[in-house]
Amino acid sequence: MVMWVRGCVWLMLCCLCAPAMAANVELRVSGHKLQVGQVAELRVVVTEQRPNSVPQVLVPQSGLNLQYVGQGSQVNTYNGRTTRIYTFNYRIEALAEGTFQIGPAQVRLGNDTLKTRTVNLKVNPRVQMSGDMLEAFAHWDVEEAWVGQVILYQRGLRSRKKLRGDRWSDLPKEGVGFLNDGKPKYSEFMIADPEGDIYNKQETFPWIALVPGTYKAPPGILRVDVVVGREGRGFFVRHKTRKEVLSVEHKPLVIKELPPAPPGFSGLVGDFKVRSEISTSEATVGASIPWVLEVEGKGSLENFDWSIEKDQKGARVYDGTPSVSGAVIDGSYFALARFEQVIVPTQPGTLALPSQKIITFSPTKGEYVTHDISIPSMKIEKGVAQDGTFTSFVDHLTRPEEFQQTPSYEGVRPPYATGATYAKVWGHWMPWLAFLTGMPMLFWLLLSGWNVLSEWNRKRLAARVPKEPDILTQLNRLPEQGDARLAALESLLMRAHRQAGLAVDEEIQKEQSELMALIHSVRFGGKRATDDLDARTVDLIRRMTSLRKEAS
Amino acid sequence: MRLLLFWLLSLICAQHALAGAIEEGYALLETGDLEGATELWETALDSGEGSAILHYNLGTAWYRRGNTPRALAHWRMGRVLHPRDANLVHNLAVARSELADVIEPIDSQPPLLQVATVSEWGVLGSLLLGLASLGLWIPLGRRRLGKWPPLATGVVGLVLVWIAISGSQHLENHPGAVVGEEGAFLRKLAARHSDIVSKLPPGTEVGVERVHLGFALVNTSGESRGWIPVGAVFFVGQEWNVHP
Repeated sequence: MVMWVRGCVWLMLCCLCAPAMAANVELRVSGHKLQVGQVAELRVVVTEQRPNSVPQVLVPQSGLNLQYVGQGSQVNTYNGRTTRIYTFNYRIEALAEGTFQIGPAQVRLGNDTLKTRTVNLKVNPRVQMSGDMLEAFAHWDVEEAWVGQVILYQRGLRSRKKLRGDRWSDLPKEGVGFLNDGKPKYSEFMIADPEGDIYNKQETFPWIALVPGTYKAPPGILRVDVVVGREGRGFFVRHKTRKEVLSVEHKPLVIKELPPAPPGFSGLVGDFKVRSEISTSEATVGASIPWVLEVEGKGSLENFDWSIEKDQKGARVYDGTPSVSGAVIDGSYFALARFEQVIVPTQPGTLALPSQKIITFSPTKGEYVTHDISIPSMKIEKGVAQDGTFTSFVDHLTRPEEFQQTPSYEGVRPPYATGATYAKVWGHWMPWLAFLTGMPMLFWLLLSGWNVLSEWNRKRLAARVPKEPDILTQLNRLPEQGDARLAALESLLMRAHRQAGLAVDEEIQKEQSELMALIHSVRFGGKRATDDLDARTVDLIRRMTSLRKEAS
Repeated sequence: MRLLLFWLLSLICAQHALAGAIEEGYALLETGDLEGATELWETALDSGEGSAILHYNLGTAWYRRGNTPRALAHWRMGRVLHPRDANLVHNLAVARSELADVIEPIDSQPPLLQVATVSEWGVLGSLLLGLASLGLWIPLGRRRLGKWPPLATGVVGLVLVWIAISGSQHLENHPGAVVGEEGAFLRKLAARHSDIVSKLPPGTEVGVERVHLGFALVNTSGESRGWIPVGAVFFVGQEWNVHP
């Protein structure tokens, strides 16, 4: 039963979470540089949805050999959100030297087919490597850079030996600065080699060139603990290590000043592409037309903002929330800025917004590049609903992208043609109305409370009155002789008879009446008591007491 | 008795007379006379407690006349009177989206009062209290149900009445306010020449803490707090544009 309930709860959670999640596919390769004969790992990672079949990865006909190994799945929970990840593993073997493009991988998800990006793999000729290879490397990805250009500092190690730990000296920081959006990338992977597996560990730091000049950083120092054997037995076995120190010389880095900037320079340094997209070519006055502008490329987009004048001829343009992201992918830094805006036509006709431009500096070309943003003209009609999406900034001004709605109509709805102008608000009368309707209940509660209190008080007082001893106890405390003894016996006889009640049969009844008459005649009639009167009375009292006990 | 009957009849007649104002204003609006319609509805509003429909129409008229802050205030008042009116909520959202320079609005209408009005909560609570009273006092009901179901109903009724009363108090003592078309300076003290904290653009929705010497102590979603003249804002609470 418990399992069934848990299952239902899990199913409900999955159903609730499902609409908010979108499937994502990714192609990952361990190591982008191989030698002929080496084997790397290739993975296709699918999140949220199980593919219909094993993904198909496109590889060149010759030079590489791809082999499917197996698959696995795992569930990650982060901040209450559950993510299911399906991983498909492949071995990719380098057969010939050259540069190869791997991918895209095609993943069938339901009725859709998703494609991954492609990955470049460079295969070098085979070089004889020592059996105890331990190499370190540290370098900039370029020797010359422009101010504002993103440059990558890469360092790492390759080893055929097992390592227990590694520590690098400080990073070179002269003339460069951190990127807030670009996080360092750390990766560890194994490359299968005919002469023994090679363990690889790489760190890539995206920096931004800031100050012109030539910088020669001090050598990078790597301290590693190399495993050379084992010590101990059973549970107490541990690795025996030897410390080694490796030093790597840095090549000088030259940072150049940018040439004089043309008017309207955006401040962006990098090789970017600009994409502008409007979902519809026809709309009605007052409808909301989403307009997406994406700037993507190798370079930093931090603090980059772009907007168009709000009031345009025939339309108003509203800014959405820009999103900027950046990451190190395949040994290069890529950034993407997405600006979602909404165009609201204000008059019918042909809407042609003026073309815009973004001027950037291309480090590869060494010159300024102008990207034109052409906005296609739209046909605007009056009052007739057209296909399109209406973005309603429901209740809040921030994050309007969460409020996508399908119907389209003029911004503000029309007034009511009929209705009452007068409304009576009962707010002031509410306590009185509630008091009137609730008064009987209140009275009942008071009465019940009074009854409870009275009962409690009665019991409390009754507890104070001393209890009368029971009949048998009183029999033991009878006066020795005389009228006092007879009076006590008479009283006990009456009490025993009263308590016995219906349990008394006719014979006892008769005997009790007889004894009462005898006691009366002795006490008040002047007769003399018979010898057995006392004993008979005590006996009858005892019998009636026992009868009462049996009856109860 | 005759006096009561006369009072009831005159109330019904007055309501019928006012009910025509919506239709008349709408007819003026159809002919393009925005000013005429606004004036007519404003007159109707001045003559009594306006309905949600009246505030909705006034908001729409002011919006078409380009006075978005005033429209916003009327729609908010309309939502106090009829929170489940989808047109009101929609227009309110559209108007808010158009005020691009305005900081995020403070909505002084408690969440439960965005589901039902004070009157609706109160009437429902009172009905439940009445049912509970009947259940406790009528012997047949008492025999069939026992005492606990009516008591539980009564407790729910009490909670609903408490929601109504506290909501009413909240709207009366801490109404919302919408900065008018002129904008307003937020000052440190309730005085004309006090230091300026910031300038609130037209249409800014603020929460009112109290009113003193012709100034209202307000707070904004930007966590700034200060005094603004009561004439520079429209108050939205238990009644239209009445400050505590």
